Amino acid sequence: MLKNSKFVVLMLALLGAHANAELVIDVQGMAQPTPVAIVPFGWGGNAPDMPLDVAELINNDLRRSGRFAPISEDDMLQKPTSGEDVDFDDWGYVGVEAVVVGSVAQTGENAYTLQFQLFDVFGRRQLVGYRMPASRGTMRAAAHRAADMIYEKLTGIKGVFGTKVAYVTATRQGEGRLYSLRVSDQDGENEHTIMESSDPIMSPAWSPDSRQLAYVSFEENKSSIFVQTLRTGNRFKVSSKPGINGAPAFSPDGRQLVVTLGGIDGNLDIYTLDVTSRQTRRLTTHRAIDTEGTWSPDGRHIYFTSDRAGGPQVYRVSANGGTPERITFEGSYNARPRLSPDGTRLAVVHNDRGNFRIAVMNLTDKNLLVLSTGRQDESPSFAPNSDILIYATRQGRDGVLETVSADGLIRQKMASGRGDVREPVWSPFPRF
Amino acid sequence: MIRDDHNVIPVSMAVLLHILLLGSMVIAFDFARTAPITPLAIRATLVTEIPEVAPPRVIEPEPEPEPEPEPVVEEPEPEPEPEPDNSEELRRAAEEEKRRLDALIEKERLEKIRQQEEADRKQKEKEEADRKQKEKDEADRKRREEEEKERKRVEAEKKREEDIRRQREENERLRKELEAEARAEEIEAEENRMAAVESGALAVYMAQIRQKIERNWSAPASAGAELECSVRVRQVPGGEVVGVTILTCNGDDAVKRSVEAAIYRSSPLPEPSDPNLFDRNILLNLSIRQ
Repeated sequence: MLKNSKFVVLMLALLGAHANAELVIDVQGMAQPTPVAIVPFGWGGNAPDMPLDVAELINNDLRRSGRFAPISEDDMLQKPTSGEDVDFDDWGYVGVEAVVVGSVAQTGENAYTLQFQLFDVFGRRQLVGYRMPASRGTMRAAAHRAADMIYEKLTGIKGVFGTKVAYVTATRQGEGRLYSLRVSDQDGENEHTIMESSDPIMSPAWSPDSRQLAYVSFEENKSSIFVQTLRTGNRFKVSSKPGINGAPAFSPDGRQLVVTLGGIDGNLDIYTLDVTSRQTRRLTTHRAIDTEGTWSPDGRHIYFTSDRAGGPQVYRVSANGGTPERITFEGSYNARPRLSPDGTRLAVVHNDRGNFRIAVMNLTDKNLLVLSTGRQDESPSFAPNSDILIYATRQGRDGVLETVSADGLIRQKMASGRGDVREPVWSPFPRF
Repeated sequence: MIRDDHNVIPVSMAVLLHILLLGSMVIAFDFARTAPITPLAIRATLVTEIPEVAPPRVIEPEPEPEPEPEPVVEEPEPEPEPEPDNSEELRRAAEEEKRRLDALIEKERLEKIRQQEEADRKQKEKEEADRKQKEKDEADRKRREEEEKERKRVEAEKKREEDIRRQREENERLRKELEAEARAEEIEAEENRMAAVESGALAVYMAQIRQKIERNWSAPASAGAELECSVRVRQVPGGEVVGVTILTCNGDDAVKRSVEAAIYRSSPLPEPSDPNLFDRNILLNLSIRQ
């Protein structure tokens, strides 16, 4: 009997322990596409159709980012166009984590209001909702902006759907070629030609306010650096010195350019150039090739390519001058440096076992991660959110553009440009 | 159209309506009377204190009035008259005779009155005594009735207390029985659970939950390598998730939302092969696969 009661006490103690305890499970997640639903937008206007299928555009933006898996319209149990009609149970049943609903209303001959709301299905709450005025001309930009807000809410990272990309195309024209400096939305749509020439155009670079482009043109058979305002088309020559004038890049404050100048003796070195006064300041003096300069986001350093150690490697020098410091050591070839806007990573063209590929080096731990898979990949450029890069790769004889996420997991071809497309540069965030 | 100069129809309708209303109120009151609530078997019944009852008032009969002493009327012996002289004596004797007769008559009359008074008084006394007796009888009857009532009430109270005590004992016995049963079940379940844990079924169950949540977790871009989130999940038998509480998480809002969504998307969670392994509370530690 005593033995029995002891047993009971022991069991009760165990039961007590069990009642307070719980299953502890370790879960390891991965970046995988989030299922979302972009419901077709409602339309209230004179014409039978809205000027732009906003839902389709948002759908494409999110899908192309690789981080979302929008479900098809056929799988939707309901198609509400405003928040009060959203049935969270239905969407939870379908298995989407977020739902976007919205509508476009016409308020004048060329005046519209775009309205959208993003809902957290399982949290049963609105995450973001906006109403934006738009015209036929700005509808696309407004829709991209909506996609940006949705992206940021769901990923914690700023969206870049509203940004643009500049690049150079070369097309056959009679005996020679026609070079074009073009700007399009980041999805390849809405392409504009900024400048055309039968002589080569190279090295486009955005001003920090994304209103101007600097580039190198070989008009009149010599290289010159121009700065052109996109809205007006006005341009002015900022450097046309004897010898090579190349590889411009704006300082973070937009007042200076870093350029590569060859001089009469042809020894390429890094200079800064005041955009207004045109005054230059020499930063490197080595007799090796120093080129492809770029500013660090804090404006304190200039990173550049130099073959002073034999093969090309990335160095950096203080923006006030001084002794350059070598940054890259991995492999025989690291060139064309570009810093992520958050200043944590450096993108380079890296010789990966005989293939020229885009790689990103973490500036903290110096680890290098190869992101692209081509043989002749070139010109990496970070998106302003530091999360995606664009670069040119070869497809047959032509160059095409690709984007890749900074973790290398998501790669997308960009359908844009005709002929040979090169030297893509991603714009900063637009300023509204 | 019927002429209705005196508003007979509306008035009569109003009267009818009032009657109906009154009637309905009466009926409603009847309905409102609730059935007596029998005390819940398992709960202790509140025993109301019995108020101290005042002892029955004893009615003291009024003391019998002392009978009044009979008034003793003492007739004075007439003084012997001196013998008169003859003539005079005769006349005087006649007068004397008359006076004596008169006195006798007067005496008889007085006696009659006295007797009458006595009879009246006796009658009155008798009536009074009868009344007193009646009152006394009535009071006795009432007192006996009261005593009987009280006796019955005390008896009923005793019975009720006895019932409550018995019910309590019964409840206690049942409770102990149920407790013992539940304890036995718990012990058995715990034994089964331990057996299931030892057989590896728990590991399988946990792996199934882990895999389902991992499949459903779309970690957002902002989730970095250093991410650590601790989340309490509450489920009900069948695996339906009924609550998600993020205890700690160094991720941003997008990460937290994704974690919640992953868990709800995984609802219902897998069920264990052995029901003893089911646990309402699960603690998830989430990180990013490197």
